[in-house]
Amino acid sequence: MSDTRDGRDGDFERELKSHLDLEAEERQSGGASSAEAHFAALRAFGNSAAVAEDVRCIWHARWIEQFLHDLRFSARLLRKSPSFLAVALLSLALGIGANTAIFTLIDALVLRTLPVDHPRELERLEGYFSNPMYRELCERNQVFASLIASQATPVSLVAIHETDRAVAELVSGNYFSTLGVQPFLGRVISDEDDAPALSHPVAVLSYRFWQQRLGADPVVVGKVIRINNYPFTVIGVAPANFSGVAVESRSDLWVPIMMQPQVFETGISTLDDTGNGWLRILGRRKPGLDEAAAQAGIVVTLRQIAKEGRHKLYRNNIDRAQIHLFPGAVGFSQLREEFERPLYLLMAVVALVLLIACMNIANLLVARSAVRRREIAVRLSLGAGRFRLVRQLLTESLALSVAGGALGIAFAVWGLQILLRFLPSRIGQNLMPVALDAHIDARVLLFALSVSILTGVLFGLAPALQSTRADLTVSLKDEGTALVSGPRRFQLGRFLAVGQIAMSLLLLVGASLFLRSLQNAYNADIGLRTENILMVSLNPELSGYSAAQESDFMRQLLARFESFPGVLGVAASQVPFLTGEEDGGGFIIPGKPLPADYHDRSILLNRVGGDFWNVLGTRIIRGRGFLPQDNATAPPVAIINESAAKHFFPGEEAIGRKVRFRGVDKVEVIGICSDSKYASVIESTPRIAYTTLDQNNLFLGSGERTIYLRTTGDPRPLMPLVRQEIRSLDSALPLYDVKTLADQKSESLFQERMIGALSGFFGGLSLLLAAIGLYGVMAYSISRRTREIGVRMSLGAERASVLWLVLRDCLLMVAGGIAIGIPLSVWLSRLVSSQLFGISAGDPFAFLAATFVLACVGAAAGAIPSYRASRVDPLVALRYE
Amino acid sequence: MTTITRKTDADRAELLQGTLDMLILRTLLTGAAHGHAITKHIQRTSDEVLQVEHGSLYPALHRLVKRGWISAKWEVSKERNREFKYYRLTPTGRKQLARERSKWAQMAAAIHRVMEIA
Repeated sequence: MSDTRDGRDGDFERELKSHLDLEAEERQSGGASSAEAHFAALRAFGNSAAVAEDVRCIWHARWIEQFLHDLRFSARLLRKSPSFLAVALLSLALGIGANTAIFTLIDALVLRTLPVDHPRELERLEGYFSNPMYRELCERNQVFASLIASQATPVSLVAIHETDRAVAELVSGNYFSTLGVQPFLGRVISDEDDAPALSHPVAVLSYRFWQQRLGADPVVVGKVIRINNYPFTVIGVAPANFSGVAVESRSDLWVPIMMQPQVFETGISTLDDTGNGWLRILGRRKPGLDEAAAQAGIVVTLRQIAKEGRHKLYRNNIDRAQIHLFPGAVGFSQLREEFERPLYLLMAVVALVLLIACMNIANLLVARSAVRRREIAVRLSLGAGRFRLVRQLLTESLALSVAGGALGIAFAVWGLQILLRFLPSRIGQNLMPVALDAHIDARVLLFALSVSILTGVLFGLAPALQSTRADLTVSLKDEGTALVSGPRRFQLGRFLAVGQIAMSLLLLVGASLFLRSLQNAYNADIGLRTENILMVSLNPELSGYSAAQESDFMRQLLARFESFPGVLGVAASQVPFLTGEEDGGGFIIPGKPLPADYHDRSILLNRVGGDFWNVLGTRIIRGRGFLPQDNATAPPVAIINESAAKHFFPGEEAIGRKVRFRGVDKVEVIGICSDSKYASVIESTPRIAYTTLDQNNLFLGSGERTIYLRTTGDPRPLMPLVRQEIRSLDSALPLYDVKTLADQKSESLFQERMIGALSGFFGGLSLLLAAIGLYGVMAYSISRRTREIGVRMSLGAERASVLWLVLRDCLLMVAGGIAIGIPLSVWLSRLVSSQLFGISAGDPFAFLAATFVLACVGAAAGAIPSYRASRVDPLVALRYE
Repeated sequence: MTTITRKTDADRAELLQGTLDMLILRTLLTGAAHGHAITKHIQRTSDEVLQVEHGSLYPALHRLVKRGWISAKWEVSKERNREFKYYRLTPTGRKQLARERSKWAQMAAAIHRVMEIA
């Protein structure tokens, strides 16, 4: 038989003709005339056109037509049960929306590649490199076609009139050419601009910066802007989609590395310093080389260079010097390094919630299809293919899930905003502002669609297959008369309910652990006072203040703040606490052997002023604090904390000892203070040394300053006054953040807060879904057993015993779920122990609390239908059909 | 040739489609046949009780071919020197027939028991 449409049609025509001829012959032999016989045969056959159509239908399964028909049918059916539709759509929207929101973040942070040429050929070199080392690696390596160096840093910028904060990225000459980024206006930085030092003060603006701060001025090329008070000429504008090689910080402009002394806040040149690693390097592999070859090659080159002994950073352990390569296509990201694992954790959580929602809907579908059982049985017996029916039921599920997914996108947009609010406003060593470009784009929509379809198949397939099992005998029985409870097909529902409870327990345990962890972090004793402290950060040096001017300015400002009503004390520090930023150096005791490990001989440093000890709560335990006599002309002094004293002077008195610190000799230790945290709440207690800002000239460092005001009550009302005061002294001075230290602490705990809040929310949601699922299963089971209940009661059973009979069923399911859930939780919680603070992954209280809550909710979910069952009138029950 | 008498409509049993498939398969067990012959065979063997609507025969035949339970081929009939499309049972079809047969027997027995219990 031919396979083409025309071939088949022709074939059937022949068959039909031969059939009709035979039939006509028969009649002719019975005595009819030829014409009569043919006519009778044709009439006996019936509508031959319709038959031909039917046959054609069998061969050309009209997928699209049938699919559309199924869709319309499903829509009609769903409209008839609005409560089911509402519950299903809502659970799906929440589940798919949550998954989409988190995926958007993951995409923006982990998956998205830079908009450059052939990003897969790029490798990120781990670590920070000095400028001389970068130059030598460029010249001598054998494995990279080109290496580019860059580093971003915050600067003060005057574009038209006002002074603003901006992010400048220092780049090597081959940066733009290697990445393949063409200018939108003018030209980009090239190799000529990169040598010699300070000779080419040129800048390329980012598209966004050009639009927002320069009003998209078409003749911007050639204009002069001032970066940290130094004039730079604008040579071009970058294309709209390019914002540098760092993921979460958008570069506003690019300048040559050789301009570093002007662009860095300290004003000190690091261009020839082999001991200062500050550049990040990206390399494009030579064609034909893979990552392993590039990795091996660059390490060989590094060790060769190090052996020549000219680089301070590579004096020790040359044979173990390493450079690890990472895929460069996704750019540099501090946020990714800190945040990647919690994001995956959250993805797992919302995937579980979606799974629970799917199980709920599957259960609901099973219940619904039981009602349609007779319809399905009739259709099956009439010869409808089982596959066709399953297809129709699946179409219904898919229509539901895709509709839920579309609604979920709306949820995702809203959820994404909430997630982004958890991110810190600044991150990294130099407090770069966080500006993550996370939005719903085509990739995210594709993800949402795929998840919707997968979800639809997941919750729709089992019920569809089950309800179309061609059990004709069962359909003949009247369902309500089954005296024995629990027909085989209902096990699916119970199984799903038990599964839901187990997963819900898992999520509740997780939520319990994370919330306790968060609470511990908040309540941890960090050795600093955080309530009622206002902090404001600024950097006079970047606006041109000399050291003496800055000192004066600070003194004036502190005095003015002290006179504010409600202010108990004012203090200042160079590095703001709890922001992740650190400053430090080597602590060398003359006469003692030098520890080999750099970490063992280093200490953190903060230069402080004002009434530091009273305002921030760190106490002087022994010795003395800073006095006015410790000024610029006096001998250098320092105060160290207890951990430092124990580490560097075990068993001896530290006070009075003279050490070499930050390149300054004979620094006298004048006091020992209490331990406190420095950069984050959850770090292990660091060793800290404090010097006084009055001796700023001796201990060189950046010009940033943070002022702390301790107030009697809520410090927030003082914020506008503080701003005003600073502006009255210097109207052009840009301020960084003005916030309370309590808020800063909160911000520093952003990961813990995000995980805690979201796991709590989704734990609660999963509990609700599991309860609904359980309730549904119980209600259905009771409706099946109504006759049985009626019989029992009419035989004299007490209402209470009926209640217990039904409730026992429910409790068994809850117990089953818990029995599965607990070992699962124990096993899986070990995976997240790195996210926990102050609590172990096996904390019994957390498990008990979660189990208790789940048991209570489960019992309640079962109690309601059980109670209703016990109130059934036996006569009504017996008559139930 | 005798005139073919037909019973009244009331006596004509309606044939469910699934059962028709089974009857076709059974008919082909004894040998290949074309569509017309199958109809006649069923009618004759059931003593004119079962009348196959021609409108349902051919869709049923094509459906069975699609499922792979029977195969079709145009052949020259020995008696008439004319081409007909002959249908044959396939091995899978044979198995399917056995399955349907036992299901049918079960159902018939069950109904019989209900009807005959006093």
